[in-house]
Amino acid sequence: MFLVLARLTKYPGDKRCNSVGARKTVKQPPIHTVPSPHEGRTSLGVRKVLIAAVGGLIAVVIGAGLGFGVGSAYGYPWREGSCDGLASLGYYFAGPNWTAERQGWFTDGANDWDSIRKPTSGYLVSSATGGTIEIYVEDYGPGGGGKVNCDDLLGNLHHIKIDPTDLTASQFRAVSLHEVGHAHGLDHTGPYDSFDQFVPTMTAGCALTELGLTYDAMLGPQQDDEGSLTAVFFTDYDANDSFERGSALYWGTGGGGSVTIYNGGVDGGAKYAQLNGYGGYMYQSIRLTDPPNTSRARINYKKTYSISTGTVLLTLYSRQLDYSVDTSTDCAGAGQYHNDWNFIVDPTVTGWTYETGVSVTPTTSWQYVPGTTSAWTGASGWDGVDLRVYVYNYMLLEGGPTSVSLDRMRAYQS
Amino acid sequence: MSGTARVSRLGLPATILVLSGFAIGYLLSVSDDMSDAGSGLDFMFSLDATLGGADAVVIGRVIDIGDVTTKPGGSRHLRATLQVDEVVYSADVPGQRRTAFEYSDVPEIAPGSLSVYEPLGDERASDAQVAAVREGEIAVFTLGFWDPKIYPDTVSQWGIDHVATIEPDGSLAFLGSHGQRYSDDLKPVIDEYARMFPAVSAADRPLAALVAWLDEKVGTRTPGNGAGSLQAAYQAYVVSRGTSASDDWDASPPSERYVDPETVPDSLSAVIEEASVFIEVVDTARRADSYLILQTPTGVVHRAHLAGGTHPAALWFAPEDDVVEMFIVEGGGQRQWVGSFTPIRLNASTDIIVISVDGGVFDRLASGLPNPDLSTRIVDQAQFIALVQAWQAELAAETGS
Repeated sequence: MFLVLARLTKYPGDKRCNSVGARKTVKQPPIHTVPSPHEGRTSLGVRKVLIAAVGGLIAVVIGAGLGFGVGSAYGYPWREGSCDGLASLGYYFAGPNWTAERQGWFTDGANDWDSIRKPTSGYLVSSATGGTIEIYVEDYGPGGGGKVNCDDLLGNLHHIKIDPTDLTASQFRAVSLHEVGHAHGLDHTGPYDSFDQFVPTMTAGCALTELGLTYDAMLGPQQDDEGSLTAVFFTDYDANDSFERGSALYWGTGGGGSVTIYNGGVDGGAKYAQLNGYGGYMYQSIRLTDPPNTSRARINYKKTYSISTGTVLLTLYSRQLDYSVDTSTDCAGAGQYHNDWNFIVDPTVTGWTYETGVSVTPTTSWQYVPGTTSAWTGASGWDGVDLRVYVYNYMLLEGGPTSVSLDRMRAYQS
Repeated sequence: MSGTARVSRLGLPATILVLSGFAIGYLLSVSDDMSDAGSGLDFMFSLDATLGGADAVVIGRVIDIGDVTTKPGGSRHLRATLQVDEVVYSADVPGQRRTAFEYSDVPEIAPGSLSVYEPLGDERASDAQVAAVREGEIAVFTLGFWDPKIYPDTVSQWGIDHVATIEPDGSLAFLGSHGQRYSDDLKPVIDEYARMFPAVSAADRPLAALVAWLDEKVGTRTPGNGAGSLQAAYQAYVVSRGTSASDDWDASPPSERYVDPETVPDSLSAVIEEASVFIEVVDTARRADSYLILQTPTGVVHRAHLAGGTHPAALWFAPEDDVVEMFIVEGGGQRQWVGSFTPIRLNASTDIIVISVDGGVFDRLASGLPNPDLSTRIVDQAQFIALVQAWQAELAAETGS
């Protein structure tokens, strides 16, 4: 198995069929050219070995055929085809084309990922110089951009290249940020963030071209970037679900409600939210592709005041997505359309649809509810789904509206 | 009997081999996806982008195609030699000064032999632009200056960005990275150039427009200079090629667009208002294949799977929307109208609209009765609190909590 892997690795550009074909034509070792004092016995042994080798090769090919296709990396729009997620990126500036300012721009871009917190505590990823990953500045194709090279079979990161053609300082930084996103395990997403419609950092360059934008449009990690980075290392879908960014960033509010962030919470020493206003709500949207039939929303909650009474309602909305390929765009057929992704045309089939809800009664201690499960049927046949988690506050204090404390609100795969 | 024994002995190794093969197949499946990450797709190689990095335009021929040099990071540069007949343009400020402040000035090009390279990306040398120029064919080359002081390992200080052949009518056919020829991208620039300089002949216009466009771009390399009219014409063309979110919205009927504050066009986002609605769904109406849809003249404002039961809903409507129509959809069938109400702006009142969906509505729809309306009522804040508390108590009783 190792030898076969090594051979395939030698031809990274080959498609799998070619590789299998190449193996079929490999000449057997020159067993008949080796003289032996025990010719007859050896020939018999060699034949056995040969039969075993051929049989084994057939078994391997059959097995490969059975296994082929099982290893789809689908599941998250940002993860398809990417390098294996690298939590800690240690790099150095390789090659002769670096200047001090370029190194600064790359470092700034790489560091833009480092402030995204884990759903539990601490940070998801880090990057620093002093490692072994090579970062090059090279003119390696028409136009400017970047490139990540990963092991074809194992997804291990080898090096990153930045092509500075026509890049301004901010564009150089944005490209660096984007490529380091690949290194952390993310692939391309669409050009519109599912929360605020800004351009996600992991938008493909060709999609920007289609929109008449440049890399400057990528302002830094957006909700889809942050949510997807979380999904690389956890099974959760949400971004800033424990409010570790110190704000309600990525959470919308309505119903006359408002949100205040405090230190503490379930995570201990981190942050939590207080949702104010009777009937007030907060919500977050997140995008999945090739969705499972069930997803869950979950929450931790407790009373803000011991004498307050009432309930909290957690609801889940969804909308179906259909990614038909638009061959009229520059992105078509360029490998950007993983799983028939279309970055330009609005893929929404249905509007937001209320699916289900669950009501809970807070006490003075943090409690956890695994939440409500989506009620789709046949969702596994959809191209994608957007989820939206709403949390409603129905708490009262002496007959008037009061707040409820909330933490770890997220959707996850169930 | 012995055959059976042999099969038995071979069973485990065969299983291991098949499983090994299965694992290989699995890895190959994954690797096929993963390899996309390294295929150089994070690029903007439109004519607009590459021309922005050009420093010179020359007219000439390809007289030699050399070997491919592979750089330490794996980048591949194809050597070539041009016979330059005419230098059409040379930039005052090098494009790469944007990425290295100490960048040298653009050197002068003289007619004659000029060593250049073409970056290959993932293409074969035979797919390079210089390889697509026919022998003796006159072509236009846009070149980028790569300062040897900054790029000490560069194959040549001149890198080819784009190559265009000059057609008999003067039009430029740009060579794609795989030999295809196209001219569409320059057309909006040529049209704008013709408007600006009508005296230039049609045959001279394509090359003149290309050079003028580059000159505009070179101008923006100096801080404080904005884009010119040729660039503006190109941008307008690019935007018009795609459909904007606003275009999609306008092209959709109200029944197919959802009024959501996150996704409506900016013009609508600035004016929509919120109403608070509470939807009571009694058990007999909690049907797995049925939906309640609320719609204003602007679009759909709420959609609920009735199996999900009673729930609150945020409803966003435009100021001119004076009615919310209600529809029921059963089992993937057509919408059926079941009434309407007037939205109430949340900020102006604490009144909340309550919609009651009972199983009877399905009976009324099935029997074709003329008045299948859902009942609606308006409650104040105190009544709403009582309503929610009763609902929550009901839920608690159901779950035994």
